[in-house]
Amino acid sequence: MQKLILFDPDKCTGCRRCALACSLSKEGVFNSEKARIGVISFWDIGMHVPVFCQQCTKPLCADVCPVGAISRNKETGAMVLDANLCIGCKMCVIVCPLAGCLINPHSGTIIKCDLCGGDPQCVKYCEFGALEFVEADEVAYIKRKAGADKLAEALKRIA
Amino acid sequence: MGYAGKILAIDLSNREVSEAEVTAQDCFEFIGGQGMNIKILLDQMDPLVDPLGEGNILSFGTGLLVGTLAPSASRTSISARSPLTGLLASTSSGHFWGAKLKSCGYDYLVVKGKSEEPVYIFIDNGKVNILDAKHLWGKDSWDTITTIRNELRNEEVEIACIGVGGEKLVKFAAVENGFYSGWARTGPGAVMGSKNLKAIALRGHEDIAVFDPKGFLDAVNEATNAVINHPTYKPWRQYGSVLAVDIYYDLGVLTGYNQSEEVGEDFIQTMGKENLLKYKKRSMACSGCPLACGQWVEIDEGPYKGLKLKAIDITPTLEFGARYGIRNLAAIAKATELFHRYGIDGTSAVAAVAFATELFQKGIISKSDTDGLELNWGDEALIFELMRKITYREGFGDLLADGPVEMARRIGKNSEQYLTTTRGLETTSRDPRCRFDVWSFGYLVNARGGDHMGVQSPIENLRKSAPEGEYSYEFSAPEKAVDRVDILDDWKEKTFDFKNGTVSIPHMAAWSQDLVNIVNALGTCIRPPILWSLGPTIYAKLVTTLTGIKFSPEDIRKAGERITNIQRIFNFKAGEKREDMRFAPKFYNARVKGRELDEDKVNQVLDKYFEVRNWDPRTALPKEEKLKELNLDKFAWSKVS
Repeated sequence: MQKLILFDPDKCTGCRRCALACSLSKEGVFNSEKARIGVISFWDIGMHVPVFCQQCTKPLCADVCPVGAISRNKETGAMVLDANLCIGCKMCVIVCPLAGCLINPHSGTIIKCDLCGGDPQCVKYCEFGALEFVEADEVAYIKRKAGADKLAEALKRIA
Repeated sequence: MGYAGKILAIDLSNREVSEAEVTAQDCFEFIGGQGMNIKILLDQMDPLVDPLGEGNILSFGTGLLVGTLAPSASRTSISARSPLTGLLASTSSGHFWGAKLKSCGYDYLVVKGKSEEPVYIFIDNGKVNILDAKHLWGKDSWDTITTIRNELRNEEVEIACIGVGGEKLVKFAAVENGFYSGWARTGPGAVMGSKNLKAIALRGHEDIAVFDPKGFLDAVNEATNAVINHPTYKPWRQYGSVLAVDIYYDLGVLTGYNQSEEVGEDFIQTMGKENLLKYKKRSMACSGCPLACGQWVEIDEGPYKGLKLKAIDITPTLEFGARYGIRNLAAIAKATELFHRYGIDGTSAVAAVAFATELFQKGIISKSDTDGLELNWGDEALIFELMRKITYREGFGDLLADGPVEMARRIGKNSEQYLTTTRGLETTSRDPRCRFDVWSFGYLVNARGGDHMGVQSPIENLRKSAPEGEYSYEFSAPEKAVDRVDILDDWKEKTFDFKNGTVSIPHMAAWSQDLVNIVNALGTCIRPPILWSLGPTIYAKLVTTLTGIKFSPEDIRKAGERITNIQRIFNFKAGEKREDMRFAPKFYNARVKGRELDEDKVNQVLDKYFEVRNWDPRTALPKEEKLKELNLDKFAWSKVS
């Protein structure tokens, strides 16, 4: 079964180690503007949200690409951008609602997450469990368990 | 590689913008952050300059590792001459401003001169803009940040700014770093305000290149594992810094009510770490940090219901709590909101109020001096109102805004016997009379005056606390704890005698001081999970693989020592003599827990410290051979008789 990166804003501390790990791995430098993952901070409510390509089942980026530069890697399930084919028309950037495709500020080329070929570095460098690399069929259990744990806390008090 | 290699200098008097190089030699000798800041100050200004005049230089220095994956590498130092103490203004802050300065292509930002009108600086991808800030003048720091982000149409701009405290030249005004962090102690905000500089906004997308990416990542992994596997990691992640409130209380080192009496059980019951969990919702981190010690709290009851922020931290808890007498942890959250918005240092503000309160309670000042206000201990509404008066220099607040030393001078009536300042800066409530260890000793030799941050030991609290009524300068450390810490072998031998179970406080203090200086120069953090787990060996690996400049562990240690020496040189040139290195009279004359400090014994420890440092004990200055050894002759001074 294909794996995906599950994210939890309640656990995200806003440290941005994910973005640093990504840019180092993919670009050989530390530069969060070149990372395929970014974090949006909501300082009024004290929450941070990691935002990154969700490897859509019906990817708009691939649909709109005029040269077929974006295609599915069967092993990892990731939508991978072939830089050799890409002409930089930026249609993928326009249609994606999440900046899954984004523009490298130095080269102007398009970059996107490819799940690091199956070993995502952002997940590796998150110490807080805000990013987890899981099988799709594990997600329901993970979310239900988290919800049930909260209920169990309350039940313990009245049992 | 690894650092931008550039200093950006902005002269607000003539709007001149220039760049200078940071050489590999600079990096090797001073590493970064505060180390390099002080070199810049010594090169470019007279340390006797008027702190609020045009000649004072405000230097922002990023730690060398900032903006990388090195654990906790977020911290940036501000250095200048302090308007509060007259010594080195020295303070560091994490969050993201420093990382963003590196993304702008600079390691250091040096602000000189004075603008005729209020301005803010906006560095935008290499372009330096000096923009009108008249519409921002008078706003608190949170309004300032929101307004700038709106008008620049960019929520991701990192902003350092002053509140009204800096505008009014409150001697302990802060420079805020985003909403919830800041550079506060020693009053850098007043320096910024004196230059009519309201804010510095940053936007950039430069790379930080890495000399040896695989080697650096290996070093990062080694360092990160050391941090997360340290025994202090889990508790610090759970409680943040208030963890140590209980530790210090249990150690018996806290005193209260302006350090006049012991602190009772009511303190730990209401202000201890378990109270934090009522309010904690989640943890927040600075750039690149795997610890996330900043606790996001939400107050859902009482007079501060609805208040949400990062964080309830130890020093405000100790100071508003032990020093002033507040017994409600939620009030610390309120105090935190206020000192950030106002842009003043909470620690110094409480110290001023607590000093005034002791004087009031003892009848030395009265309502006619205090705008009719009755100064009682632990009055939340009162201290919050006084913080506002301080910020606006309104009435009695105008006196408080100059800090306790100046207050004592103006009030007279022998009021200085109640001061708790040491070398011009207010100590924290960790009282040297309770326990004369590395921390207490550090008040005497810390670069910024009587503060606790500069000389923190990387070994868990040394044992052998003295029995009641006695005084001990002897401590011990368990061999296991020492083994866990990265201390170079020759230093270990000089510092610890395991056979007799003793620790040399002067050696331990020197090691700790140099280590903290290294940490401040690298931009990592002094929270125990990092300070106690990382040392020169891993730092040498990190720096060498990042920059390509070869550092051995001894090179790292030596850089730390070099920084300690230029701190002393700066302070000497700023007017601090050997005779000034003493505690406030209260610590020698007033007893607490049946003890006061014995000045002769303290001086003996100081003399030993100078021996360890190879400084002249009469002047507390580095001897000529020490200057040569550290390549600091260029900073020498005319002979002292």
